[in-house]
Amino acid sequence: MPEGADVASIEALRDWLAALAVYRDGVGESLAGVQIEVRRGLEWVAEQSALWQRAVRDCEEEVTQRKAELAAKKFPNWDGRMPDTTVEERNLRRAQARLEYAEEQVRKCRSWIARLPKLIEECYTPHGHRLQLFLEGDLTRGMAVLDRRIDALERYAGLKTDYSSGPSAIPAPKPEEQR
Amino acid sequence: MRFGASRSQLYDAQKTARARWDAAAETWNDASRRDFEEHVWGPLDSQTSEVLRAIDQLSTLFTQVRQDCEFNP
Repeated sequence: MPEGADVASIEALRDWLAALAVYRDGVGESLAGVQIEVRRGLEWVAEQSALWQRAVRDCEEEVTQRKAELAAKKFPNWDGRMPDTTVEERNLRRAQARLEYAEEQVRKCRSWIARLPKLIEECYTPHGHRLQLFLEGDLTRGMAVLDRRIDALERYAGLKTDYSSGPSAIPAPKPEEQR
Repeated sequence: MRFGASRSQLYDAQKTARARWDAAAETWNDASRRDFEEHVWGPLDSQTSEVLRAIDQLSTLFTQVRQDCEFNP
């Protein structure tokens, strides 16, 4: 024997259905927002990689220039002594260090660009996708069922002027059955 | 790659929906409520929590990416 409906407030159910619709929209917006941020993140890493690659080229030019400056200094003076090249050597070491740093950053960016899609797929995508499917499928169907049930209760309450809380049957009984 | 706004939106929506569910459940106590809870609300709530945790992991991941890759010559 089916259990009767036990609904103390149809209005509360209507409120819940409306709140659920707001929730569904909010979740959908949030999931879309995450997708946008993920895409921005991937683009951002590619942009940083391009900036570091340009920095590598600049640093290579600087190293070439510093080497030339050092080489130009490595000629004996008029008195036959070798000039002090401390500053040029230090400048070259610094330029080489900057180049190594930029090259290392390019390697890091490339490593992240290669790994990021899989890491995102592992940590987020299945969860976001599952929830999106749930919103579009089970939730939408569940809300439709609830909406029809509330309609039935409202029809039943309309037939019964003294409708009040407590167990009752769904679908609503015919008027003659209520007497 | 800032996930704070989306996470907050989802967290707030879940919090509000939980409160609304509790209010509705107080006035609704039959088989259809249990069915709705089992097949709709429960899975929706738990999947939302899973996504919140996943967003936290994404956020941690991209924080690391930012630290490693940001252009600061």
